[in-house]
Amino acid sequence: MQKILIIEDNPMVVKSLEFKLSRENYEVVVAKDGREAMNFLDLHSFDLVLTDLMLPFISGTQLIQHIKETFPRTPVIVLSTSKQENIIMDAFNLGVDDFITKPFNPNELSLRVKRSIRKFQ
Amino acid sequence: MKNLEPSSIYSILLIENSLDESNHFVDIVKKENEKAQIKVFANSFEAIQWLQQNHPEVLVIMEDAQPMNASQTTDYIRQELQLKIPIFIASASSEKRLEHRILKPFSRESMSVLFENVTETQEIQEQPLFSLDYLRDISDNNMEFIMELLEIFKTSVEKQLQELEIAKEENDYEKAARIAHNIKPSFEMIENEEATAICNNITYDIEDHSLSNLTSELKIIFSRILLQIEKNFARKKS
Repeated sequence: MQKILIIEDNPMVVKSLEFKLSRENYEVVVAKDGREAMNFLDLHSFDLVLTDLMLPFISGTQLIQHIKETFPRTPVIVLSTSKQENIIMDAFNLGVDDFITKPFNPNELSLRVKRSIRKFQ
Repeated sequence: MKNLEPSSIYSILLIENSLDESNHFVDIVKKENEKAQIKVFANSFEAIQWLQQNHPEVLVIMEDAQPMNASQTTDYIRQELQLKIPIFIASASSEKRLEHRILKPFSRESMSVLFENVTETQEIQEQPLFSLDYLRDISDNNMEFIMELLEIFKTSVEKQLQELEIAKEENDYEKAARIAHNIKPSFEMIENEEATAICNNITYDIEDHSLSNLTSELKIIFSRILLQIEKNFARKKS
């Protein structure tokens, strides 16, 4: 079973992502902030990371930088909201693989997750 | 957004220190609408505190309420709380019988102006404030999931709005922006554009707005959404 790390602190978004991805047979692990995500990344390997950019303790961009340096074969998809165009551009410069705007379109989520995981297999 | 049917449930806040009068008031309202919710306070200060977290359709206050009389309470509600709730003053004197005045002792006749106003206010407030379309879409119409998400909406947004209130009091604009960014998707998921726009203003354009006003507006919208969710599901159960 492929394992996905979600780093997001909005409980409705988390629940929806968990619901949708679990139904598609992914194992889902949730971190509510960047610090917790770092701990999970040290302990487990993930097939994909889905992360928000505005996170408590460690910013999304710092986290992405860490993942891309330490786990270069782990794809990262950014969970953005509208009006975050500049931040998304910064994230792409750090090497993120894709972005999904919240609230996510369920079909788009499935496609982008599959595509990003496939790219690194 | 889908249209929701208007509801017959409404809530009234009464500030009245005579137990007989308040009981009489409740009886008349209940005869008019058995589902109406009436919150009674003998003290105007306690009523104001309650109003900061609750949003009834209408307020009725006795003219010589204590510790703040009807006029002082109205000023406070309009200027400090910035609430546009209709306010009726209950008075035994018929001399100053104005549009928003109810003659005491309460009677069905003297309260007719109140019932007309509640109906009008309800029609305005019953504009749909939420839609379940998105939640249905992501869950293939799984009602258990939708109910769980609505419960998460209630508890998580309520908690975040309390945090936003603290950030406002501390003039911590950065924290306010983080909170607004965090709760924006919650309002988007139930398709409330007004609250989404307020979250954007707090997150990105606060220099052009008053954090205090935006926080109050967001709290009012949230409270109305909750009321509408409650009414909507109460209708489905009945």
